[in-house]
Amino acid sequence: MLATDEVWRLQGGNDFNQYQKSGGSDPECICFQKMASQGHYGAGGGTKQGIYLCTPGGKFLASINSLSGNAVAAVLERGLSKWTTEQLGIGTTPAATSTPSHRWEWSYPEHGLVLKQTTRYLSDSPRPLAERDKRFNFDFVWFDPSEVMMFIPSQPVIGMEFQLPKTLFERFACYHLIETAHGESGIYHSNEVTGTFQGKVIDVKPGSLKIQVSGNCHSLSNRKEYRGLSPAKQIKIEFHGSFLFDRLDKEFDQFELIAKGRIFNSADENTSSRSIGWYFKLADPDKPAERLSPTHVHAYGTEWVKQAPLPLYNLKPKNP
Amino acid sequence: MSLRKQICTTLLIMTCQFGIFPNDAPAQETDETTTASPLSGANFNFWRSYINARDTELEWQNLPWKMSFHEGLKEGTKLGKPVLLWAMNGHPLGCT
Repeated sequence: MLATDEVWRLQGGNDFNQYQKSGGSDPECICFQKMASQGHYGAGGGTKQGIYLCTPGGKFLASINSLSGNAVAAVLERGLSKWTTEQLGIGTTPAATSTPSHRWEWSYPEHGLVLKQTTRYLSDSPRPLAERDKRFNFDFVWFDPSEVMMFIPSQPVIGMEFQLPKTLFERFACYHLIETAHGESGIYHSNEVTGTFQGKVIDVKPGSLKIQVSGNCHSLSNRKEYRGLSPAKQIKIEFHGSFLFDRLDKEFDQFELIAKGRIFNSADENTSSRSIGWYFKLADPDKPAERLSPTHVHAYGTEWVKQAPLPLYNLKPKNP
Repeated sequence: MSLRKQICTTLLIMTCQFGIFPNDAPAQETDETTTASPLSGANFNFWRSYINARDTELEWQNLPWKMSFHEGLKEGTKLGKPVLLWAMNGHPLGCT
């Protein structure tokens, strides 16, 4: 059986001992905490993120947190072997019902814009399509219905050019155009990103609008987060895309955006660097796996995202 | 989906086949387009194909994942099977 969940919720914050001492008692979380304390990160505080194999009753079988597919596969084989040979039994499910106090997915913007994001490093030497990096990462971008309307000019005319609001630019620049191709990254604060995001009306029909978008972004940060994640020191990005908007249903029928960036190890552009690409397209609302929340949705700083009761250390929603 | 939307979707698929997306300019990339080429409307298709994941890379998403640990444990109990819990970002085989 396969399950995916938010590790921060399951571990009850940064330290599950503290969670339990302060009265945290969600049976699902307690089950995870007992199980994960036997895993690769052991007992005590700190993240317990990773891949776990357990019995349906919550007994630990095996776990790992690795970038190596072979290492993960070996751990899965070891766990399955333990399940078979030790006959640990099915046991009973720790709780008859699930009663989480918070899920980020509860803020899913119905009738808004939900994009699926794929991030991949680009080769620095000229290479054809067949020789691309096989490793990639993905995420989701959320806009609620009121933000959707910010993409649309009030009186569109073919050929009209316009600036898209800062809110939309910052949603991409601060939380999504970050270095996540091979792992995690911190976000940028709004005072660390500059750039433009402009649209051009390509076609106007009574029921639809076709808009071409383009822009650039310069992200610069010298922050060193304590315990949290820092973003790349500097990224220079250009992006290009288009969308088709249904004026009657007030929703996007098509949306594509590609961004191409150069990541620098410092504010100096003469230091070592590498290229990265991001591709955004409409997510499928009928697929549960495409209704997962954005990684950094906690920092969007919007009222429609319901915040979790568990504090996320040192991750500020807006400028310090 | 409303009838109007269904008809519109059919038309949209037809127009897509004639290449109006993603930009008005038809895709002009050739076999000579490489990662050294700058991003533009003309080579948008190359960059989309380069960055976006292919169906074969996303086969794991077709598995019937449950969206919470609890749901996984319940289903595992019902089926008499162990549970694989993925509690991190990226890819379940660690390939990020």
